Amino acid sequence: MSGKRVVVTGMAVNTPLGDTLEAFFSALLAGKSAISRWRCFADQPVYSRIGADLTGYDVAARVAGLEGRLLPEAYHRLKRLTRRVPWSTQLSLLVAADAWLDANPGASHDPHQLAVIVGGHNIGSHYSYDMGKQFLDEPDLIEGLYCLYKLDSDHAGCVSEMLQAKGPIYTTGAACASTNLALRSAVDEIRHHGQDAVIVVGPVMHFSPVDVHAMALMGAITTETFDEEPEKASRPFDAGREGFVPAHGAGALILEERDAALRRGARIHAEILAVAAGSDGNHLPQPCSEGQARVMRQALRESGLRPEQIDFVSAHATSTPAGDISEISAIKDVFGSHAARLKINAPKSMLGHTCWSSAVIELIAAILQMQAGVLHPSINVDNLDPAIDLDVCRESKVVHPIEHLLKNSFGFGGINCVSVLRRHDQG
Amino acid sequence: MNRDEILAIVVKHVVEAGEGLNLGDIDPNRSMLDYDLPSLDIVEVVTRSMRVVNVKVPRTDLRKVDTINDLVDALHRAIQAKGQ
Repeated sequence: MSGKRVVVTGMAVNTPLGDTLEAFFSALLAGKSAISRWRCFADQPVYSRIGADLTGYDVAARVAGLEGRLLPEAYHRLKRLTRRVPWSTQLSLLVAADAWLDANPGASHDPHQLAVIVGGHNIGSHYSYDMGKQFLDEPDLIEGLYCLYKLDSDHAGCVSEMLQAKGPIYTTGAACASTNLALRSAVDEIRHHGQDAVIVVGPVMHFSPVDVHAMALMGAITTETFDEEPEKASRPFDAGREGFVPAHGAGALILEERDAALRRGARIHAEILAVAAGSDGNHLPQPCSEGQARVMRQALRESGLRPEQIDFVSAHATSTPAGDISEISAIKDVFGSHAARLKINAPKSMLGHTCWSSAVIELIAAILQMQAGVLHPSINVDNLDPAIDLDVCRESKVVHPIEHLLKNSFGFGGINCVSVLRRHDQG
Repeated sequence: MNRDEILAIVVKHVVEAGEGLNLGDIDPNRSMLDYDLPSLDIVEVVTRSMRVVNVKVPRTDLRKVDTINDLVDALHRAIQAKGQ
């Protein structure tokens, strides 16, 4: 096994809670909800009336704000690309640019050893829905490059073009575990395939009306109960939870080989010790505690840590009745008596479920918490589910030193993926 | 929609597709190829212009388009034919 150590040197987010790390983290610590009435589906015949909505985000203004910060050629390419590509691809470009700036690699990197991995699939679903409607109305008026722009891999292609990354570029599709799987592939690219750095992008899942309506018909998301109080709708661990809340959100990470990052004087956010993956042998969205526990154990084994060395679990916790219980059971199984000393929180209580990008956005939140030694609350736990007897940070933010954290992500189709990170001491 | 309005729409898309172009740079008597637009970019200019003015130009007519003015005329004829 390669002895290369992999670190996070760049991070960026874009959610309704903020498009800077500072605003995002501040809102999380304050317990603010990103969830509101959907603007994008206001006139659609869908049961889903609430979500975390980035509709109307001012892409052009954000692009303009990067002039003079990105290298001129990269800025020019960003500007040109964002004038043309679909909305979710525009946001992938912006969040990748922000993460790149956060890593501050300058012009010193080798473009042939720079990879791009985008986590997710069917990302521009709303765009395809619009083109489908246009086709039914007048086939010749669909976009001339629709067959390119609809591809998930075009997110990776555009980021690659903007930053002239000429290493491998691809997507990882694993439902709501997609970006943890992307992280796993990124670690492998550095450890085993000679890449110096990898840009991991968690794109905005651009839900179509059909998508959110189908989720409602399946019973996966909350509908009606909280339509007048959207900020109360996502309530992991609460006895009154009834389903997840779909959400817009993007995130990006820059990963580098640790020694190279240290040589160039990079600021290191955290070290990735392990990313483990497995599945349940069941394509249905039925969470399996045994499968989740097995992958958590595998991640611990790969990281070389004992369970009692984990200080904090950033839970997948989507606010579904079965999912939250399954995850808590798995944590108790894996951590035994140490589970009672663990701190666990639910970022989706504020962010909603950003689906494909959730693992990377929530991992960024977890890293920020590890750096600050302060955990954000799990909001809306008014009546803790009696079956949940662990510390889920239900009151408010809490000071808690963290040396090691574990991040869970579980996707439809029995897909389980768990990452373990260590605080990085610059010395 | 009159011809000048159509011309403004087409020129805007040419500028957006091109590298370092400004509105004042565009001579409608020239071909988009003269502004170094690759064929895929020209496809975008044509389809986006059609989408904005909400008419389609038959592919057989598009094959005859050489200059920017040719495209504008084709769009204008299509609008008139549609009775807008």
